[in-house]
Amino acid sequence: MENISIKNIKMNQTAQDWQQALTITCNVLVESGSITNEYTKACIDSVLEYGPYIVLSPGFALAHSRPSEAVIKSDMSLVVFDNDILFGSDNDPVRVIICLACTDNIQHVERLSKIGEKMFEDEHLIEKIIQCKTLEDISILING
Amino acid sequence: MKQRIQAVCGFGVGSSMMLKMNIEKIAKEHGYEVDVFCGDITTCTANECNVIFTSKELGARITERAKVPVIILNNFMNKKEVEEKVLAYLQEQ
Repeated sequence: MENISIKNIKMNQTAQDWQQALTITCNVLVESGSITNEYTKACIDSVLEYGPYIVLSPGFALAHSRPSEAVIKSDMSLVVFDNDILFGSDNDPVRVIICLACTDNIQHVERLSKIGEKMFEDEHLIEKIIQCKTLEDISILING
Repeated sequence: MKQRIQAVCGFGVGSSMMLKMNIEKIAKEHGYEVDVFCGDITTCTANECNVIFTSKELGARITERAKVPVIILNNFMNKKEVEEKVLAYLQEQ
């Protein structure tokens, strides 16, 4: 099973600020019918409330909120930005954002943990994703 | 005694899940038996555990009300930092 389906991966995006960057990343899942716009709002609100803790490592943010009715099915998207996105985190600037949407605390765990393991074992994974020239290359890094 | 470790994020499903896996991995690699679970920022201080691992932003919110040590990780995905801080804690126990 793919961790993130290639149709949920986008590259060469630009955003004016972190809110727009999160919206672009969440919109991939809105278009796939996995979440509603309410989920996007919840992801943004959580950063406004708790700060930029979703910027987990240099260059990388994991946009997410709690399981809710705004999630139609558990899913993930990944967007690579051409410009630096600033969250006000020590791990700025961000270039890669994954949006995680889950219907419960269980369904997404296997896929998320496979991605996490790849990042944990390869500290240059985010840089490699940024360097990719095609969606297929990104997919191989994330799903291979 | 088996350490009960809580990984905390905003909702206990995303970043804390990634942190939980990384803590488990380090503990296993170094032969420690630990019980790691995810918690959310709102309820984490009511959960029974020996220690809390979380981010800088969230740590600042819970350090005052937590009854157990709160250990801050700047980079959840950095093996060196997670290894250093998890082992430093476990070796003291």
